Amino acid sequence: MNQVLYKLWLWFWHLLPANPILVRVVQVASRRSRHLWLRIGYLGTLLLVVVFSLALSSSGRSASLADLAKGASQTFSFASLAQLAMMCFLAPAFTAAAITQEKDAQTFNILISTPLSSGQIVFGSLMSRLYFVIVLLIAGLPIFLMTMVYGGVTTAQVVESFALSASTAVLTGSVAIFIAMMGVGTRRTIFSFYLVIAFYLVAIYLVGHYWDRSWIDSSPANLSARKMSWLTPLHPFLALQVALDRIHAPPYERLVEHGGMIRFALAYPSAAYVTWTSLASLCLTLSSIFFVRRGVKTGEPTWVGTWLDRFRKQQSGQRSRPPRTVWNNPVAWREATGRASGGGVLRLAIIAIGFAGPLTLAIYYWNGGMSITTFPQWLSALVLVQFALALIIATNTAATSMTKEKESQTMDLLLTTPLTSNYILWGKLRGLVSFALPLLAGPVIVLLLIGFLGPSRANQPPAIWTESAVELSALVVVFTAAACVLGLHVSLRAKKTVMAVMYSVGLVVVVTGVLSLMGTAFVKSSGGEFGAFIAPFTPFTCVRYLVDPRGLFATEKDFTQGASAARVAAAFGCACAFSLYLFVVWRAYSGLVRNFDMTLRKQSGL
Amino acid sequence: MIVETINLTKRYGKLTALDNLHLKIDEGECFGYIGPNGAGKTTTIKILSTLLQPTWGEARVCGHVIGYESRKIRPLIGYVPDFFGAYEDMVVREYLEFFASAYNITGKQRTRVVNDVLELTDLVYKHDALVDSLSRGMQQRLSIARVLLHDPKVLLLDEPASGLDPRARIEIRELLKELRRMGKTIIISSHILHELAELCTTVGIIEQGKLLFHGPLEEIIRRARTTSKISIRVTEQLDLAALLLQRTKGIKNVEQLNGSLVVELKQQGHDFSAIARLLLDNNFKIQEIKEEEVNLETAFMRLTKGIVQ
Repeated sequence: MNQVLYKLWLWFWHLLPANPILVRVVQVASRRSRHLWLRIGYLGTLLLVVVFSLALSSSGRSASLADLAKGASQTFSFASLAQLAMMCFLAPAFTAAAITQEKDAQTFNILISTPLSSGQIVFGSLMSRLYFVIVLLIAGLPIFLMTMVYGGVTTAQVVESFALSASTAVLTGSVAIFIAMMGVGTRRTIFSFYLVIAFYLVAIYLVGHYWDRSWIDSSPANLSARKMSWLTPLHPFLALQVALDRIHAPPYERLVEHGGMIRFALAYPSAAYVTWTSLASLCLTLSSIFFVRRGVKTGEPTWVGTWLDRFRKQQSGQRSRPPRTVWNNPVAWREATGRASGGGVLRLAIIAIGFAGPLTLAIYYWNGGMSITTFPQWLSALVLVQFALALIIATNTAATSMTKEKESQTMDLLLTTPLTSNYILWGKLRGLVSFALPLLAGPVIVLLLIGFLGPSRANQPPAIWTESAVELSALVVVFTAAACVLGLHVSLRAKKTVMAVMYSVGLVVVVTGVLSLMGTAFVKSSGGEFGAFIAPFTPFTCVRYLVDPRGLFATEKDFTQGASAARVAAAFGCACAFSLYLFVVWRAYSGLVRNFDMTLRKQSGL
Repeated sequence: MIVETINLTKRYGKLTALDNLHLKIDEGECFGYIGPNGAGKTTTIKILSTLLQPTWGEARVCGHVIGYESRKIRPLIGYVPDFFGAYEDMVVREYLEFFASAYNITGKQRTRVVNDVLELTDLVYKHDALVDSLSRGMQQRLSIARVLLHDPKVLLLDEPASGLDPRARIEIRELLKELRRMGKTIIISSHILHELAELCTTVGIIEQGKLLFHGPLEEIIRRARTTSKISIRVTEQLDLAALLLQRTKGIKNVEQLNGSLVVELKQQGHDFSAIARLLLDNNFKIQEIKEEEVNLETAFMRLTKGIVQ
């Protein structure tokens, strides 16, 4: 018996603590300055959130114990939200690169030919990716414990908050490792991975938080009359709201009409979320262990490809096809056709949704299913989501354009041809625009249709101003061009595609977010005609208030009175904003052309 | 002179990759560039192909100065790096048309030129194959096809035979011989010295950024011949023959190697017929007597060790 226990202990010891893959990462990579800055940034952000929240809650007056406890509870809420948000960003960032580890590192084949067991390889790969994320989580614990000093925060809440973040991170890593071990991952998959995670987090949250038809009747309403949604056990942020007592879960006793597991999930959504994510992670990890040595290797046809062969002429594994015609600008051709043929399903889905979504809403409105005040609100939300997706995809595509050339070692070949830097960059930009335009076409065309077709019923004002559709079309294009140029800048300087994508998408998200927050603050504080003038200057306020200008006014009466002046102000604001962004794009592009040669030569010389 | 470097120096921080390189290559020459790993061969080729700027000194290709007239140089050169850079999801014909378009070859001329180079490099039957499905040898032929599209004057090939199987190497060699016959100036860096010896008219040996030798192949072999050595095979009593020769004046060293005697003479150009006469006079039967062969490999090993100054 002792022998068995000893062997079991030895097996576990070699599986995780003494796993050579994990040990290498812990010993070597944790000393990199990049990780030090990451830890400083993460803990600094948490600390800032806590300090600001404490400062806001105290407001310089002496407080009672109850006030302190309330302040601490609020601080804990903000810190938990910040922690979960950072985990949702960092976990994919750390784990996504695992998807292409087989192709990129060239060490995977060496690894599977060693005596390392499949479990050691999978757990080693998984934990080496998650190690830093989990260390960050643990490092943040003292900050959370500080919030318990004044009461108002229970240990159970702290545990729930950490469990939600940890299980989200582990699930993300497990998915990435599973894709890698199945051998179906490519560099395009990395971006789809980010996009699917982001879409899931944003879309499910919006539906669960704002759509009252998804709410459970038996759930008690909070002070804002919001109830818990069915989707709560499936979403970390929704589950966190319940853990923080902002939303109340229905009592277990009142859920008698539901079966055992569903009843448990609805009554205890945080526990349910942690349970199902942990089980999913376990299943994915076990499957990965099964496939790590049995899955397809580079060059072999995958089962997905073999299944798809039934519907297409080319056989997977067949390595030829009829040649396409190359344009006179070969760089633009490569960007446009290479991108379009890759990631086709996701791209087509986004284009289709871009048309179908706004069109469905418009038809619903024209048939009288929506009021003139509700329709623009929903339309602006839909167009916002579509625009955000298109912006991120365009940025990602731009961010990979140069790094892919460098990684596939075709940049040197291009540089020795007579193509000038201006020609190459113009070709890239032209190709990117050809690729990105269809993503924006859907909402833009539907807006133009709604704008020109006019009101649904007689004697009713138009739901959307005709000129708004035109103005928005122009602005959306110039915003996307700005994001593309930013992506090209990052791609030129970055050495690896994954880093370029992270930096550029992160930058676009931060810059757009900050600008939009500032814009929203200005517009809300001023409103009316001035608000209409300011709104076009930031991406999301532009979409929000051009599609739904009623948001600029406090009441319908104010809107009716001020609509004409607001239209003129909006048109003027759009013209100024368009000119400003066009100038920024032109300057940035010129800078790119000027620095192109020097940047590449510096990188060659390193 | 089609390629010339004057005091060409390239530094990467503290590392001096090229140190006052003086090189002159005439039109139509096939120049072999030899050196150990990290000697500076790739750096030189990258500078000549306008990818890198020199830190100091000057390099000229077809009379144009690198760094100042690089745009005029690019249509005149063809660069084949030591790796095969390929785009995903491109077939052979698209790959060639892509680069033909980059060289501003359009319309029917492009189709004609692409067909011509496919035929020259024997890749016609692979025109619709994905480039990343090609074998290493075919990839290298495709690389050469790429640089022939615009009919350059100078070809810069960085280890074109690296990683190729024997058949592929022979095919590349024959192709390069054909290009030489067509009057192209070819600069090749390689580690496969016996192939360079067959192909090249002039040779340059570089080590630690310094050019140790530059000139015709015969000259380098003559320089590397530092001593006179002969190999003698006798029918019997090898030890006795060795002892006899060791005591003879004018002989520096006698060594037994694979059943033969390798005799090193004190003076270069020494008449070794006397040694033959000595052995015959002492009743030794000589099966074979020949002078030591100095080839490019031997020359390289001697020169890079610093034996010849």
